[in-house]
Order: sequence, then C-alpha cells, then structure tokens
Amino acid sequence: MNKQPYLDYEEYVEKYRSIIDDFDLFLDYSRKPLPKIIWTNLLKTYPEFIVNLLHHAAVNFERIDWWEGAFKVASDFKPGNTIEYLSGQIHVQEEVSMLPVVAMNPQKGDTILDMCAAPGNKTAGICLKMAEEGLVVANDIKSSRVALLQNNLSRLGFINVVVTQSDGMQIRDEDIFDKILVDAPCSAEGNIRKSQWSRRNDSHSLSFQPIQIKLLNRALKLVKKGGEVIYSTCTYSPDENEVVVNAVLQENIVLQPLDFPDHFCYSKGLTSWQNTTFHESLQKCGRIWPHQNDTGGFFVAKFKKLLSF
Amino acid sequence: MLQNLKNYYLFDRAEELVTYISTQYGWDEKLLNCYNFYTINSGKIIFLLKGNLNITGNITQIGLPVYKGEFPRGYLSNTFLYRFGPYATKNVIEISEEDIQPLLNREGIIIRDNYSGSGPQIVKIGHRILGRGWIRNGQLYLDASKIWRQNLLGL
Repeated sequence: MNKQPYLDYEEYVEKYRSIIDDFDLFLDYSRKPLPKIIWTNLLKTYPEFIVNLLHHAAVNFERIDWWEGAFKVASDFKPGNTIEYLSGQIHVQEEVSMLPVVAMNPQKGDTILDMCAAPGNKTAGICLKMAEEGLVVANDIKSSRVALLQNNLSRLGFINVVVTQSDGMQIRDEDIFDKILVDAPCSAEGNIRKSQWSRRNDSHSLSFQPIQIKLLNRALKLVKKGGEVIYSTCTYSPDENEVVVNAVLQENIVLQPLDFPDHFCYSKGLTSWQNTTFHESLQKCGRIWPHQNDTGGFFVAKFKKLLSF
Repeated sequence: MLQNLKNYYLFDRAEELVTYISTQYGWDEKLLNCYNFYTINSGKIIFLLKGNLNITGNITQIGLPVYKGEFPRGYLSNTFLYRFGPYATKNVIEISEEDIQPLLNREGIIIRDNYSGSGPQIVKIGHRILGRGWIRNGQLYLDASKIWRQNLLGL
C-alpha cells in the first residue's frame, strides 16, 4: 500500500485552489502574522479606559465595530503583561474565533453549553454577551486544558459559569440547554498564521471526522426542542466541515443563516466536494478565509432543532 | 436545586461572609444579594454563582472563587477583588505608578500617617485593582502570586 507523502503547507492547501476565490492572495495572507485583538470585559471596565491604556502605551489600534470594546492592536503590544489583562479587564482573542459567539447570539437567561471549551475564549465571549443572566456550562475533556479554562474564566471574573470535565459524548443533561457550541477538535489548518505548520498528509483531516460527527450528534440530542447548536472549526477541510454537517442533517435538524456582521466577508458553505454532493442548505454555513478579513481561517454552521428525538 | 454535586454544597455562613465583606470594604450588602455562595468539601474555597445548578457533569469549578481558606481565617481572593473591588468605599489604598515596582518586588511602601484603614486592603491605581494588600508597621505590602508579579514585571 502506498503511504501518502507528508506535505508542506503550500503543497497541502493546493487541493483547495478550486474553492478559494483568490488563491494567490490566500497564500499571501497565510504567510502574514495574525493581527492581535483585545476586547474589553464590560463587566469590569469601560472601553474608554482601555483606549487610555493604548494611548498611554503608544499602541496603534483600531476599533472593531461589530464587538463593543474590541480593538485590533499593533502586533508588538504585549497585553499579557498589563494590569488590565492580569486583573481580567481585557482579554486577547483571535478575531475570527469571536464569530461562533456572534452566530450563537447568546441572550440573557439562556442556559448554554460550550462542549469543547478550553482555553475558554468563546466561553468568555458567551458569558460577556449574557451579562450574567443565565448559566454557561464550559466543558472540556482534558484536565490540563480544564485548568487553563478555569484560570481564564476566574481571571475575567465571570460568575454565571460552571466548569466541567467530561467527554462531550458522555454529557447526559438533555433538554436543559437552549444553545450549544461545538467548537470541535480539528486539524487546525486555519491556524497557519499563529502556529507553525506540522507537515501532514491528505488523510490527516479524516482522522478527526468520526469524533466531530459524534460530538455534533450528541449536542443535537442534548439541546432543547427549538434550541440551536453552533458547530465550528478552525480548519478548511470539507471533510471536517461540510461532510460533518451533512452527516447530521435530518428532517427536524435544519441549518440556519449566520448573522455575521454586515461587512464581514465570508464564503458560503460548499454543496459539493470532490465526488460528493451535499444538501443545498449547506450554503447557509460560513467559510472564512484569511485574505477576506485579515484573520485566521474558520468554518461555522448553525443548526436549529425543530423537534425532540 | 443542586443535583449530583457531591463535592459542592451551599455555604451555610454566607450571611456572615457578606456582613464581613460589607463591614471591611463598605460594600452595599445588596450587591451580593442575587448570588449564591457554594463551597467544596474541604471548606477551603468559597465560590459565587448566580442562579441554580441542575447539571450532572463532573463539576470542577463553579462561578467565581471568592474566599480562600476556612472562613473567617482566610482571605478574599484577588479574583473576587478584581471584580467587586471598584464598589469598595473603605480600606482602599490608591497608589501611584511609581509604587507598582516596589510592591511587585515584595517591598513595602510607606502609607500616609493619618491613614485609618485596617485589616486587608484593596490596592488600586486609577480604575485598576492591583489586588489585596496588608499594612505592616506603617507600610503597605501587596499579596499577589509570584507568577502574577512576574508577568506584570515582564519577567
């Protein structure tokens, strides 16, 4: 049997040429360092105080208009060494990974599960948007990652959150959650701008697919009737995105449009890949490529559960 | 209602704790009215949570750690002070930028002669809470972990 060769990044992503609108620009952006984003913890302070910090530290910044109190800052700024960071007044998060929270649109009073929560960036965003009206359960499977999750949530000072350590597939609390986020373990192809590429072969993505489908199915089982599930990955591979989404669709599990910010560019989900055709509604999913908004790469899908099963 | 929380239970001295916090820092007691206090079997950490828990998972932490050590011999956590410190009206010491470095190096800074505060202090600089402080022999010391101090010193 022929073993597949291990590929460098540019060789590896060549297979995506046909689904990327400007492949050369995509490669250009994939080589650039990722802009740094900080957001204000509105439960502790005001955006204007953070603006003062940035002015005082002579840091160039621009506001992110779709997330109150978020700023894109100069990449040499080290917020981790500031009192504001260490006392939880600000948080550092990649811009594109804030989108699942936007898609979820947490409401005051919701009960929400973040199934694969560590290190807690999206959980934090969810807690912030709920303004502490409701409950967030932040779960992860690994104890080392749970410790990181707890540290981040404590530093930020969120009160309406419970941390659990479980295999997501073993969570048994059915019909409690209004919304569930499955930010699934993935091959992280979209992280090339912030972490070194580890050479891999074409079958790498397939190794994540079974667990992704299981976690997503579990979330759809757990969520209340009428509830919503957000599925996200930081990878490009359709094997980990559209194939997974397509596998769980049923008559009473439907995809919903993504309410991304108006001027945030993204591509529709694919309705076919290689020799496979997917349900037409997969166009409602969102693929974010690095060159579209100067971010990392991401995939987001939003499901609604019409009936219990 | 609590279910399957074998390690966590409602803290039965919550009223005393709230009174202590209010007395020490001049907080309005109503500020903490809408929260529940939980503790773990060891009784060494007290957590704050809003609303009820009705989940069955393997819970490792609930809400915000508020108090470390057995009440009343322990102390309020810095995480709690970062969140609620701005509401304090007494036992708050405002320092200047020049004071930060010695405090992080575990040196005391001299506080003004007529300062009337006593017991654990909240150390703040402008709108930022630096953490829990102690007065000893007319000097203020900061009580912060080594890692926290090193991060702030950029080490």
